[in-house]
Amino acid sequence: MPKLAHILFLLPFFAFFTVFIIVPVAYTFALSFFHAAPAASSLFTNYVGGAQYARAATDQTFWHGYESMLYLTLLWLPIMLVLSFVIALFLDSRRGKLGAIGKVVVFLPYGVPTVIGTLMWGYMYTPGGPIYSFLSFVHLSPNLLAPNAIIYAMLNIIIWEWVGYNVVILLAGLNAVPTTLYDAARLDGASPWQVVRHIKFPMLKKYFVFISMLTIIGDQLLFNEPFVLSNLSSVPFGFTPNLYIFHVTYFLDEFNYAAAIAFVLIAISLVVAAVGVRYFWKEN
Amino acid sequence: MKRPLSNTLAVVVMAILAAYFLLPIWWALVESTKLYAAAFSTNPLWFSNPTFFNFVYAFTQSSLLLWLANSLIESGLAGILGALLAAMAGFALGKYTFRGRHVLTLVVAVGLMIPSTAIAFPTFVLEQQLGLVNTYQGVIFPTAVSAFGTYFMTIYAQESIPKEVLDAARIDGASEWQVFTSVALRYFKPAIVTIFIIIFAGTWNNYLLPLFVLRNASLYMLPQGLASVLINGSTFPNLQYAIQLSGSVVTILLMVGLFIGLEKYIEAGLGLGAVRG
Repeated sequence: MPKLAHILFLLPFFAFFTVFIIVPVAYTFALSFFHAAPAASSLFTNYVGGAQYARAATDQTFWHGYESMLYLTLLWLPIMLVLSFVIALFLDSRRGKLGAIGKVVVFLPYGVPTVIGTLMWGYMYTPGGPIYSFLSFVHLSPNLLAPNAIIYAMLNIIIWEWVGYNVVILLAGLNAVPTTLYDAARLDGASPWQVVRHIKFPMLKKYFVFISMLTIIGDQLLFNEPFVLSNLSSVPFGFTPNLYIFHVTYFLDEFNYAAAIAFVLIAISLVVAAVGVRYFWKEN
Repeated sequence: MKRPLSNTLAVVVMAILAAYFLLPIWWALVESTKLYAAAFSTNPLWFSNPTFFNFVYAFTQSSLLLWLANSLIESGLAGILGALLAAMAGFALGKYTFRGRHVLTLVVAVGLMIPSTAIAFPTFVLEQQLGLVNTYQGVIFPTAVSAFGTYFMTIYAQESIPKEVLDAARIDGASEWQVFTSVALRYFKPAIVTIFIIIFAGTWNNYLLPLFVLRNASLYMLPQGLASVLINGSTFPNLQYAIQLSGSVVTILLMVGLFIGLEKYIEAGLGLGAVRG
């Protein structure tokens, strides 16, 4: 029965996919139209239409968090792109042993679970830790765990975690540049800087878009870093949508409202991803 | 002589960056060999009376070993299950022509855009209904579902498994299942390793889903366990110190070993844009 074989191959994955991706999303969507009392026997009691979304639209805590997160993205994105581009160019020009070791070194932080990375940085930020000592040594305000500095504390952690990942993506992109382009540039007497500007940079454009997309989505979804840091410092519980969802679920016991916020988050991520992916596939 | 100068500058900048990337790892390594009493009064970046006390203390007096085992088991099972699901689906999508193939490919592409952390809460609410809260499966099943895995396997099947080899097996009388297990799987091997690692690492690093789903401390995975020690505080600060540092160092060493050993498989996945869970 070769005609049915493919169904048997497809069934397991799509069954799991339905139960653990499609159903949760649909279930959340359905939940978001109710407002069950905290102790209600079913979450599907007290239908309120779009009221939870109206509430989210005017929720100061949620939008303040979103604002500070956008500020974080604004800082994060350019630093991330420049740093990973510079490192990728350097490693690409050293194909030997130094390049191989360098690649492992920048990639290492990516292998450290974010909870553990945040714990380590968190302790290094505390008084007596090396970062605190270094910052007071250079006469900067040393306490990165102070409420007004926490965003920079977080910025440092996510840069540390993600640069290596982006470097590896850009290196793959640089590898894919046809060598004939370099040969042509050399014949034309192009300087290394011109090669970077007119060949490497344009050839990497789609990868920059891809990285930007991941960065913007990743920022929306931050949870581990702010959650762990909130135990060492005061992080507003609406700092990121996921942090807020957790708070609303656990401390306010408002599952239906959490569902509405979760659905907004899924929708925003989907839109950003769709724009990025469309661009990426068109370029390919 | 502009070139050598800019060259030296580049090397110096890169050396500083390398120190930055290694700093927390070095710090944890150094501090893990110090007793709690000496931790804050000695140079945090250099050894002072190094000892293995923290490791022995944490592994014998806390749940650290159990959390480590939980993490390894759950990430390993999710990786195996996920890689097999993806290989089978990818094989069908990449090597068979049938009605609805494009629709399913599109579904996978949309799935690719739904980040796992965005559906942690919905998954948890659903699992409450299914009775999966406080079970290993509650973490393994959702993390094993990898749209990226299926997407990757589909492309891999199209590009790397020759149709003639499959047809030859069919002519020899092999059933479709045998074609898959005895021929396709052989070609899939490197792709399976790649997807296994991606799912393994995603589960190993996952914190939000276990935080929602696993309530019983004996079921915790390592990151969750280490964070819980911080969150709950401890009446024994030296034990808390020992658990966090030795737990971090062991985790890092394991992951570093995995990364260096399997680097080429990881890169194969990253090139196509694998997203960490």
